[in-house]
Amino acid sequence: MRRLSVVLFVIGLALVFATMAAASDTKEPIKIGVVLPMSPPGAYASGNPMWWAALQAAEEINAAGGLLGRDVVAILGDTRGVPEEARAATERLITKDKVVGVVGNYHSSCALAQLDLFKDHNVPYIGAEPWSDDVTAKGYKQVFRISITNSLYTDITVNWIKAAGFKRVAIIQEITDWGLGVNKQLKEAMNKAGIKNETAFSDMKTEDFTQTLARFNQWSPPVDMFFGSITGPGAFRIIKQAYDMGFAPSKDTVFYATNACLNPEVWEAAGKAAKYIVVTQIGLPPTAYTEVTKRENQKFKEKYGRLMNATVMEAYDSFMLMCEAIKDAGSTNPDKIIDALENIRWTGMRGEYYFPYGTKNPVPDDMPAYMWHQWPDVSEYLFQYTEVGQSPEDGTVIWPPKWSQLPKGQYFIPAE
Amino acid sequence: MHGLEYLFMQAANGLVIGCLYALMALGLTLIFSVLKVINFAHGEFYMIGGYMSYFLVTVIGGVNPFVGVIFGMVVLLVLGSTFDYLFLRPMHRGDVDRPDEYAILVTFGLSFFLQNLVLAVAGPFPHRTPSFMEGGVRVGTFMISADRLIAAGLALVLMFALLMFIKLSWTGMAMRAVSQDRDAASVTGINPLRMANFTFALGAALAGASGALIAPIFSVVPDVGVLPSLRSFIIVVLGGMGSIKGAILGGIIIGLVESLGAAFVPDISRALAYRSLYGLMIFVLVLLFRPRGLFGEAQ
Repeated sequence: MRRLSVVLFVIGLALVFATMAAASDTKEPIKIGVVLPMSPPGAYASGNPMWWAALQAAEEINAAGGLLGRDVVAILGDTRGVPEEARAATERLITKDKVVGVVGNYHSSCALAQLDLFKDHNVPYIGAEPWSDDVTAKGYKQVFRISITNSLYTDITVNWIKAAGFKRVAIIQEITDWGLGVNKQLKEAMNKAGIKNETAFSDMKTEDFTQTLARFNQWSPPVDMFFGSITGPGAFRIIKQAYDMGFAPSKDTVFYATNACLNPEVWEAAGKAAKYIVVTQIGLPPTAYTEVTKRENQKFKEKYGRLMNATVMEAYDSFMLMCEAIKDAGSTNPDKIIDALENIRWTGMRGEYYFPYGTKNPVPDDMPAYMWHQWPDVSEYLFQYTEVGQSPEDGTVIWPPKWSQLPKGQYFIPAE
Repeated sequence: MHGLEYLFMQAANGLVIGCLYALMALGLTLIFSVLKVINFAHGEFYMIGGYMSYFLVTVIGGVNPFVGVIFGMVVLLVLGSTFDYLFLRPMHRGDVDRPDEYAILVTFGLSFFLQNLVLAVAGPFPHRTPSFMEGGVRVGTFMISADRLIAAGLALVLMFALLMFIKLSWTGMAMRAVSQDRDAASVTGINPLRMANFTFALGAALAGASGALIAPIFSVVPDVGVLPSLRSFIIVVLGGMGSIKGAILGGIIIGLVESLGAAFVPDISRALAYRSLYGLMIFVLVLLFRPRGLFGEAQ
């Protein structure tokens, strides 16, 4: 009798533990880390809407029944745009929160500081917005990227400069990992094409650009194209200061701005000075939006009252892509997720994602190393604002020719 | 543009910006001279001033940007006074064991709090108050906007008014008395706690005024005060800790040196990037030959 009691007690205990384990297994959500600059000194104006996009993606997945029968949770790691903080936040996500994958990043410097963590802990990562070629060029099997790279961006920009026939280019370039990388490649490409160019580097926090603009404004013959390669609030200040001086945009000089000028605050900050600026958008033009782009853009407009830009799309798509890979893998095992990512075909906001080069198909010798786990079809287009207060959707697309709304052979609209 | 015209316009631009630097630094030095507190939230007071002006002029609307400047000052006057009453008064009363460390921590805390509060409330995107006036003064290919000239003019008026107030009014004399000897001042019937509170509020209002004056020129974001705050510390040390004359002259010197450096350093690729360095070089030189700053008094 006593032995029977012991056996029954042990069986009962085992049943309790088994039930608890099963219950916890079904309820335990799948955690995905999202690393973004949410507060100063990072690019928090981009980080905050990107975080919204990741949350939106998680909400949609959960509303549709979750993933592998479990809920998905996005867990934030605030990088503050500082590499050491980015590394600490990622380490916390991996070791404390036990995330099964990580997506995000805005600053290349932060992504580069995290790469070894993904490798050492074997955690799959999809880069949303770090442009530095080195992010994927290291060839880590855990690291994928859906954003543009410095090299791809430079190619598109220089091809437009050449097509437009610009011979004298002046640049004010922010000193960041992104800025220095892009500028180096831009200069090399322009020098090779015989285009006279000069760069003035600037701190991200610079308020007053007038002295340097005055120096460029003294060129004779005048500058053909001025590139205000500044992100953040400086992107707006430089437009107003260049315009007030009569430098650019003007009939002589085209003003090429960064995608910070997709934000409607450009009109509040620069007013009529922003009319005729050329703005770059990494993504599809409105005429080529996918169904997902249209749906999500509507939600974003309701929330933020503005057009979704590339960074927001990338945050949404990278989160969704990670979830799709987990679904395809049927598991949260990192090797299976990585394998699923290498074989994935999924259409998001910016087109169909796939990674042609990876462990099964290494990057050929004649291809740049950054093509490892790199989505190759990143699209970029240039448009010009033609009215004060215009939405980017209504701007005139001027490049590439396949999407251009200008007559054949015309590559920009001169300012009046 | 002829060399002389170019030099003149760049110097004029430096002077204009220097006046705004000086106004902000003046608030910082005033607080230090009376309270012996280094206010690490000064940049955030500057930021709040800009946002308050934007809020009144653009969000509420129908208000002249000049009124926005006054509104920014009033809000900062109240905020500064409240903060001093709640957080710094225990230190003045001697209720805090390590007052110097306490002051650093509490103003640092306020700085983080205000930055993140504004980020949460106003959002991450930059905002700009409408211009005081369109147009400007043009010479050749260089133009100084009317906004800059008006902002500098108002900064000069405010600085002059403050100097007169400190020199001629009873409260100003009381502030000076407290800054020289707190105990002796209290013996003569001056309430040092009240003077400290008023001075902190006034210093905050000056930072708010410079933020509101700058708002139509440079847009405001939650961390817009970081660089001006650092610059103000440099100006205050350059001019002499606690010296009002020093803060004004220091601000103008830094404005001029930054402007002329960016305009004349031969290597254009570095001229703008090293802008803050030019001021720092002057700062180091002054400290080497005159460690207490331009107008600082020996301890």
